[in-house]
Amino acid sequence: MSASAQTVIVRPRRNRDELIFLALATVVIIATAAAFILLRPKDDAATPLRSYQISAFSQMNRDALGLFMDLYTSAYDVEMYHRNNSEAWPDVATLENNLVPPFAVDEARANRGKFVWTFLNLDKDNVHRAVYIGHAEESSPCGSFILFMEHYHTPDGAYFFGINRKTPFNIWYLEKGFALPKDFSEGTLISAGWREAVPFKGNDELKRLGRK
Amino acid sequence: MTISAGPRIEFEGLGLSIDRNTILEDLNLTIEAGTVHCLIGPNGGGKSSLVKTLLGQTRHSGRVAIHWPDDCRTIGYVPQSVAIDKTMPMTVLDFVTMCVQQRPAFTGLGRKLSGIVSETLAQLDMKGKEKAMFADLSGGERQRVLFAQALIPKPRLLILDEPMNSIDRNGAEMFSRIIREAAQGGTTVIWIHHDLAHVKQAADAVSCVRRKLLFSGKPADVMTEKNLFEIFSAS
Repeated sequence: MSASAQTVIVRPRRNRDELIFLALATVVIIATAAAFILLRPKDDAATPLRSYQISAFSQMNRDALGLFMDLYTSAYDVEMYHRNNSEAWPDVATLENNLVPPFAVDEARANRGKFVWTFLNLDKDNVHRAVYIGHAEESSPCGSFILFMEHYHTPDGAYFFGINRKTPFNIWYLEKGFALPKDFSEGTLISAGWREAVPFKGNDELKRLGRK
Repeated sequence: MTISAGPRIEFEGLGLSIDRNTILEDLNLTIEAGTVHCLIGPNGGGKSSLVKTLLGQTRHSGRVAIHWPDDCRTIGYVPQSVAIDKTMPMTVLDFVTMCVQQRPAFTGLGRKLSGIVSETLAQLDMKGKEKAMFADLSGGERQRVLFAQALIPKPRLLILDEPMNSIDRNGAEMFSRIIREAAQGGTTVIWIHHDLAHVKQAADAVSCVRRKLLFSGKPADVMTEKNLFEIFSAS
């Protein structure tokens, strides 16, 4: 036998090293995930309300909030109708016939003081705008609403709805009194007492749940 | 060519139990260096478990010693079969690369090994199939690839677990010739084999395993009709 000859004893297989490695890998994964959760920026989801905005969930009564939510949901249907019908906006009768709340003539509409809706098409060139104005004919627990649809088309066919906007619409709310605004620019609406109603922000939700 | 002998292997009092089933019991066996040593025995007798024990893949009791004559300690192993998903996008070359080099196969086959890989695949009539999908190969072609990976780099101990399965006659002759050449080059070959007639021709030594070692020696001495009848009629 040469000097480098060697007898190797074959040891029985043991899982110890594998187990230790697996346990370590598990700990590393859990620690990394925990670090990400603990160190994540917590206020990203929260956008503070601006002076002309109100939080629908905390500053509206139950009836007004219900109407706001109907409007908020239906705004996407209105936008979809517009896209699917050669850029034509649905008028109030169309929305009523399609039973789209809050335009549908139903018990909820009666309970909210028989809301009357007015539709205005304000399309101009490549700016597509439509306004749905609603106010109660009778005594109502709700104020008045404006659903303001707006988006732009560029000459090359691109579609966008404005800087800092996350939706192709906004909803304005006037708690007391009603007068048709002269125009629908932000400035005019704000000076006439209208406030942009926004849904809960992430921060508000945390507060509401008592976790912050 | 320098002939470097393979190892001598000793099993002493080997025992193996899996899930309360005794697979091997008090097995004592010596495999001499540079010989072709065939393992025979009925199905479920513990032959594959014995070679897995030698590879350190079981929780055995007793002593398993490999006496290496030098620093060259390469072991080639041909498993009974390999389960590969039909959809696995792995070529023959990928598979061999994965088996023969430590760095990941997706980085490609290293230059040092590319020559011997081509040579070995050609030796096994697999030249030109390097880019074929491994999962698309026939059973016989897969066995050739499995055999090829065991020959790279040149093993000093070659362990074969029924490599002739799915192999046609030409292929079987080719395998036998390569195994014989390896043994002549000093490699120790442990070969699980079911073809008793072929064992008589090809083996330097044969051992019969059925939980225990039933007999071991030169084929002409131990593969008597009486011995074989007793073993295989009882299984």
